[in-house]
Order: sequence, then structure tokens, then C-alpha cells
Amino acid sequence: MTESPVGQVPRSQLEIQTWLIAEIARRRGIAPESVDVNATFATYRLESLEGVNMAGALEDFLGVELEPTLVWDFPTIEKLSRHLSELTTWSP
Amino acid sequence: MAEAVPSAYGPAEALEQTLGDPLVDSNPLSFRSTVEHDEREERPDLTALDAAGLGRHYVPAALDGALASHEALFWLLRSVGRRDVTAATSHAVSLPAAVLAWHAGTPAQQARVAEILLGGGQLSIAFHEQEHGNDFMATEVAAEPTATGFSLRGEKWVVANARRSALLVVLARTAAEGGARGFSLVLVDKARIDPSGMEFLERFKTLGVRGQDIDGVRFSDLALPPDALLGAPGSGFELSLKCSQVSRTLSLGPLVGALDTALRSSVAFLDARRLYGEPALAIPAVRAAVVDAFLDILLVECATLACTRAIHAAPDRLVTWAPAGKAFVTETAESALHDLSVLLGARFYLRDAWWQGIFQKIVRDAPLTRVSHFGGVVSLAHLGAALPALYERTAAAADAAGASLAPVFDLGRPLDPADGTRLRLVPHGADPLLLALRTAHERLESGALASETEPVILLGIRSEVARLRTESDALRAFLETLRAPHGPGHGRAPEMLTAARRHAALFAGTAALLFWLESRGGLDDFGKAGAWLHLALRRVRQRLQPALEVRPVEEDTSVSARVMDLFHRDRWFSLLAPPLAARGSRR
Repeated sequence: MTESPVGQVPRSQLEIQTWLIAEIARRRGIAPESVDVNATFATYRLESLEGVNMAGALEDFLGVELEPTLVWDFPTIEKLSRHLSELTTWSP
Repeated sequence: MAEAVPSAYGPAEALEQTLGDPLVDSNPLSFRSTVEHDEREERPDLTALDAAGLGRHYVPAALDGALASHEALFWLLRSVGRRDVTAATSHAVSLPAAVLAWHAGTPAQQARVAEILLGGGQLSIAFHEQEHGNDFMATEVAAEPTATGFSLRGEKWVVANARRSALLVVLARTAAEGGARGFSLVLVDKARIDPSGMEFLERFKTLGVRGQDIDGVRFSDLALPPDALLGAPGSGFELSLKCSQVSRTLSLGPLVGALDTALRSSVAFLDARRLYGEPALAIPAVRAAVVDAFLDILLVECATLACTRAIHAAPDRLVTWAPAGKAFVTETAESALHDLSVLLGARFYLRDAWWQGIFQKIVRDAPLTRVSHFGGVVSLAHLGAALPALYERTAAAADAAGASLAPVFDLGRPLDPADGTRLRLVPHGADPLLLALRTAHERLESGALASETEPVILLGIRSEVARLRTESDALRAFLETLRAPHGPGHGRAPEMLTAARRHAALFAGTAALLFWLESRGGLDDFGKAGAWLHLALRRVRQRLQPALEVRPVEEDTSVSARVMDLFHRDRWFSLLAPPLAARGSRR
């Protein structure tokens, strides 16, 4: 992961979770309340190509460049958001 | 410049001279011999291709091969494909495995693969399984770690060339729970295994390319050495997606070549024919159909060349360009063949009544490219997954944000070495090609263009570019609708495939426009004049929005004259129009 561009605000784990929940709900046409943060992305059929594309959209939200394969290495909302919040709060 | 022959054509021109005119029955890969092999479901004789050193062009120069430019390789495969799609695909069957090896192999693995190819051997990939189609994450073939390496077990389906190939690259499950990191690529090098652990299943009968061997393979606890793993453990899915961007681009060469023969055989028939007291080509509807087929060839050529040159000049864009190119080229090729079959009439349906029956063979061969190796619908699905974010980012980007695409579209510019490390799984930032379409009207206002281009043609190009831009705005709006909250869920919306197909058409049209803008100086008078571009853009737009319109007769006439000129001078039906083996030339 590279340095965030100028003016980006680090996101908390909760903000990232909320974004992921809304995004999955939009992609699947389901209610946000029904999205489980501990279920794998595979549960929502987001394990393959659509998953990495979701990481691309997440990149825009966070304003940082991400390895799209993060969704494979951190395969739940909880794990991915925790990992990313640790990364995005890390800034000099 | 009157006769500009691209430098990338050099190796293909030599191959043309080596193989001679395919209408001469005694030449290697003549139409007569390839159709006969097809009728007997026998593999064509590829010795002439081996003797010409085609396989050296699959191996990078750094490994003692001759592959420096994928553009040169495209022309070679196009030249073989115009003679016989089966010969081209049977020989180039090694490429997907080779691309994986060059991308992810250790020096020792690369040396072994190069040794096989330079020695005239072949490679296969074994990805598909009977029950799972392109659902690679359901792959059941498993490579389990053992004390001495791996044990490979399970069955692969529709493996091209499995029996003949010296080495197979197999997609196998390496983590019981699966998932995107649960699969790896393993090399099955026949020289290093106990053959009793591998058996070949029935050979499949196919609609076309009947001479190509397509088999099933069963692995029964086949012991593999520890260095059989290609790339990192768990990287199989990622590597196959990335490398498919290159190999699916290369898969288009034979099909683009076959379209030349399809049009050439049709024109040869019409040229000699008189109907209702006049030459058949004087009938306006016949002439229009010939023009449209030629425009289709120019469009598929531009789309394929854009992807091919991007392997060197814009590998980070191939993630969307390669699927757009593959979808557009396969679908356009098949529709062009249908349209040409109407011109040939009964001679299309009779299996041996014209040009040794090559046309009906091409019609049966063409769908292979659509259904094999990351084919048409898979490409549309890959493209669809990336499009919403791509359009949103492009809309948000400043006009000036697009990197210059001259390295891709200026055909006179030498290509940098291919850099596989720049291939991506997801497109980054805005699409420079869409940005170029958005800003093209400014370039079309330039004084230099106005002084060199017929006003009516330039006006036509400007008008079509404006309409394509409107189409891209409409596509963006549609993608936003699909993404709206409380919608049906855009991720799996069936409309996504339609949207991707429309984007693929915009991609091809914009590629044609950019080749004209960036390479005009090197094109001959016909290429420079731009009537072809106006009509090609019009044809793209009519694919998107069929409309009843009067055809521009003057431009139609100039393009049909070009078709006949290229036909009589034995030149490729191509924007660059390099020479073919002369008519009647014997090997």
C-alpha cells in the first residue's frame, strides 16, 4: 500500500465497515441490516473478480492505493476493515 | 507515403513468402489440404510452420527466442490463420502456458519451457473441469503436498493438445477450503513424471477446428516434484486472470486472419460474376455488404492491435481492454461471416463448391475463439465487473488526466519491452481511452487536420465522434442507475453484460479513431483520407443504435474501390495493407 494522497482523512474501522456493508447491500440488492460482518465475502459471492473490483471502489473511498487482492487475504468485513483502519491511521 | 509496411510485419512477410499462395493446392497449408484434413478430422501438417521457426516467436529474446514484439507475433498468427484456423490454433496452443511461464516461472522453469518450445515441442493448459465451466473456484483437481512434492488427483476436461504437449500447466486446488487463495498452478512435465499416473480420456468431436486434438486428462495420484509449483502457493487464480489478458489478446490473431480469407473468397466470387446484365459488384446492395465486411475487418484489426500494442505500451489498461477486444472481435467476426455468407449464397452452403470449401470451414472454426480460453461471455462478465467504477472515475477525472496514448496508437513508434509486472486485476484511475473519446472533438478541430481532410469527411467523423461520446455518457448514466441504492443489486444484473457489450463497441470505435489521429502520417493516401474511419464509426454507432439512414455513396464507392484494389494487388484487407504471398506463388 502506498502513501495516501494529500488531504485524505484516515478512516475508522466503523466507517470502513459501514461503507463495506452498504456496498455489498447495493451489489446484491439486499438490506444493509442483513449483511453479516463476520461472514466471508464468498457468502455474498464476492470472492472472485467482483471482490477485487469492490476493492477498487474501496480504494476510491479511502483515497489510497490498495492491493485488490486484500479481499482475498482478509476475507470478511470485520477482518478487512480492521486491517485497513490500522493501515490508514498509520500516517506520519 | 504510398506503400507503408509496418516493421512489425517483417517476420510475417517472410512466412508469407515461405508458405506461398494458399490457393495453390501443393503449397503447405493450402486451402485444399486444410479442408481435407478437416474433413478427416486430422491435424494439419505443421512442419512448414516449425521449419519456418514460428515457435521461436513464442519465446522471449532473453531466453534465446525471437519474441520481442507481440505485434510481430500477431501478424504471424494472422498470416497462419488466413490459411487455416486449425493450424494456427494447433500451433499457438502453447501460448497461454508460455505466457504464464514467462510471467511467473523461476529461471529454471522458464529455461525448461523455452527448451521445449525451441525444440519444436508444445505446451497445454488444463484449467477446465466438466462440471464447473469457467467457475474456477469450484476446481476439484487437487495438488496435495507430500514428503517429496505434490500428489495430483482429478480430471480435467477439454484440454487442447494434451496428448502431444510435453508439459501441461494445471490449475489445482492446494487448500482444502478453496477460496481465491486456494488454487495454484502446477507444471506437469511429462519428462519428469511416472506416466502411469496420467491417462488421456476420449477425444472430443467439435463443430469446427476438427483437426485439433481436444481431450480429457485424468490424474491418479500423480507424483510431482516440489519445484512443480508455478508462482507462489495460492496464486493460481490471480495468475490465470492476469496472464489471460495477454493470451486472450493473442488468441485473436488467427480469427482476424480468417476474416481476410472470408472476404477475399467472397470478393473473388463476386468479381467474376455477372448478374442481370452487369458485374455483381455493381449492384449497390452487394457493394454495400462488401464495404461493411471490410469495415468490420478494419475495426477488429484496430481493436486487436490496440490490445496487442498495449501488452508493451499500456499493460495496466489491459484488464479492461483485453476483454473488450475479445468480446468485440469474436462477436463482430461471427456477424461479418454471416453477412458474407449471404453474398456467397448457395456456395456458402455447398461444402466444396468455391475456393476448396474454405468459407464454410471458417464459419465452423470461428466460434472456437468465442468459447475457448477466456472467451466472449467470460470477457463481458470480467468487463462488466470493472465498468461501473471505471466510468465513475473517468467522469470525475479532469480532461487532461489521461496519459498520452501515442505509444499505443502511433504505429510508427517502436514498442518498449513487455512488462508483465504492470498487469492489473482491477483498472486503476480513469480510462485514458474513454478520456480520449471525450476530448477527441478538440483534436478534430485542429487546423492541420482541416487542411488535409476533405471537409465532408471531417464533418462526418466529427459528427460520429460526438454521437459515440453521447453513447458513452448514456452508458455511464445507465451504470449509475444500476448502482443506485435500493436497486436490484448491480453486481449480478443481467444488464451488465449488455452494458459491457456496448462498451466493447465504443472501445473498438475509439481505437480506430486514435489510430487515425496518431498514425495518420504513416498511412497511405486511403488511410489518411479518413472516409474509412467515418464509415467505421458509423458502423459502430449503428451496432449500438440501428437506424434507417441513407449511406454516403461517395465514401462507400471509395471504400469499395479500395477493397477491389487490395484484392487485385494481393494485399491484406487491413488499414496497413501489407503484401500477401503473390497469387499463384509456389513454395
